[in-house]
Amino acid sequence: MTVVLQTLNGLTIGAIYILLASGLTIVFGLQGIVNVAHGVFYMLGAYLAIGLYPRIGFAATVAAVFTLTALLGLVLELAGVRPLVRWKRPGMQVLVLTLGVAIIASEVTKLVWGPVPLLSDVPAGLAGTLTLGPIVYPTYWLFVIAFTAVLMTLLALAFHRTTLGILVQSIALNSEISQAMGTNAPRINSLVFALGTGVAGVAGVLAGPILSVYPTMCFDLLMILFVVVILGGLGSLLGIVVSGVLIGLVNAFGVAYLSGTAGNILAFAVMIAVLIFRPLGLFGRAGILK
Amino acid sequence: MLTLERVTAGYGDTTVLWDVSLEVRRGEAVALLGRNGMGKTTTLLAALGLNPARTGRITFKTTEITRWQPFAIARLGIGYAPEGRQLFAPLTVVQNLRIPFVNKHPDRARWPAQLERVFTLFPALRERRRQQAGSLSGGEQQMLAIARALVGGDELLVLDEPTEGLAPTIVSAIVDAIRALKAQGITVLLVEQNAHTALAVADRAYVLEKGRIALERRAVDLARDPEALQRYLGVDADTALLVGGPTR
Repeated sequence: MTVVLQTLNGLTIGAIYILLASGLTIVFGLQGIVNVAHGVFYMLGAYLAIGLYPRIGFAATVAAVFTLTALLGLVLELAGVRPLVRWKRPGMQVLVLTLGVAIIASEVTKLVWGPVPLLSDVPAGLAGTLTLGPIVYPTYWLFVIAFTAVLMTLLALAFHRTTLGILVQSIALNSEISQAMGTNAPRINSLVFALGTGVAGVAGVLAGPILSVYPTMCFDLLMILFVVVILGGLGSLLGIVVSGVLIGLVNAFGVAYLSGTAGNILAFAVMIAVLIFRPLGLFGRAGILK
Repeated sequence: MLTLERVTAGYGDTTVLWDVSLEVRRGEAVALLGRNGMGKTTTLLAALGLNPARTGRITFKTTEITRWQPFAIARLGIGYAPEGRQLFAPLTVVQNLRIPFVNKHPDRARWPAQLERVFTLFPALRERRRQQAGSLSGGEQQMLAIARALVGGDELLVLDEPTEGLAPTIVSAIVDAIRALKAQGITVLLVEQNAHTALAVADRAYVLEKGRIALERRAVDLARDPEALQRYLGVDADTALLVGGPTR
């Protein structure tokens, strides 16, 4: 019984990882950059949800947070990332710039909301538990798993079936040649970056009632996100789904059967073990979305 | 249609092109010849904005495009088939064609007609339309690369080494296709290491020597100039004549 419960716990946490890692990994696939400030949008989503949800309801909160964090992401991409990419300084400079943004955001959050962890409420309609035979499990946690499954399916379909998706793939495969075929890569890169930060904001809303909300959460999850992204193979959407689930499960079982810190230790151990045998990660290769 | 005036370009600290000036007129096929490493591809990359010119001036029709971004240049109506094909290997044939079409073609409703046009030119691609580009044979990949340069409704085709590494029968199929496109009024700028092939399709030729234009000739004249061929391109004039003459 605990095995099933821990599996569900692992899937729930894994779902949050997947939502967050999707933006990171696709942006890396397109522009070869790592946005260390990605967690800021997640943190912002979680804090905003605490204030917004009681006033405008859950669905409207998700929509509002997505819009706001996507717009802020767009500002960061246009003002901070794009100039560096244009001057052919994408790697380390973007890393340091976004790290600076994250540190400032974390400190400002402390000033605005205080240093004490908060917990947001489970949406009223999703409160309570579901009974599945012998298993009793919180409805909201199952909702997070289902939400992520649906969103990732839609994302995969969009990448493979829509014209924009094909253009995104072509940039990931060969940005220069795609541009020589007329693709406005800078604009699509900005759009995808903003969608990624928007999804990170939504992940924050969803995670609020599950994980606690505090001013350094934008860094704490980042480490495990790097594990998910690297383990899956940088730039691979399928990779982060598989590794997100895997790390979620490792975490849940480690915490349940060993100790509170075992989750993280095991997650990093799994990553190191995989990288020794597959340096590009489980699904790492040139193109994304395979 | 395309004019380069005193273009200088290079990579990092290295300058590869010095003061290159050339012109491609509407309806013409122009070959850019030269030995390996003389700056042929660099010239194309500068014109396409993929490795922008450091100095000089590049004009397409009446628009100066020297500092333009590559996608904006492409959207003016320049189709490009890069050296080594550079297809989007995991995408299908149709998806590879769809990318330049949606980016560049002014009329989205022309998609079926544009597909039909390239499948008429390269019937082999029609059967392979749902296959991944990476699974095609070398010849088919080159056909797809040229087709991809064409579907945007382009008026100027820039072809970099379109016959490189292909079997002789495939080479002649590609040459026929380029001739057919020229007959349709499309302007062609062709980079080739193989002077025979290039002179067989081109009206005029420029020869690059160490990053400078060393020679500009009518293709028929260059094909009959054994001394120049030997000196700049290291080819035997007899074989050049064989292919370079009016074959059809």
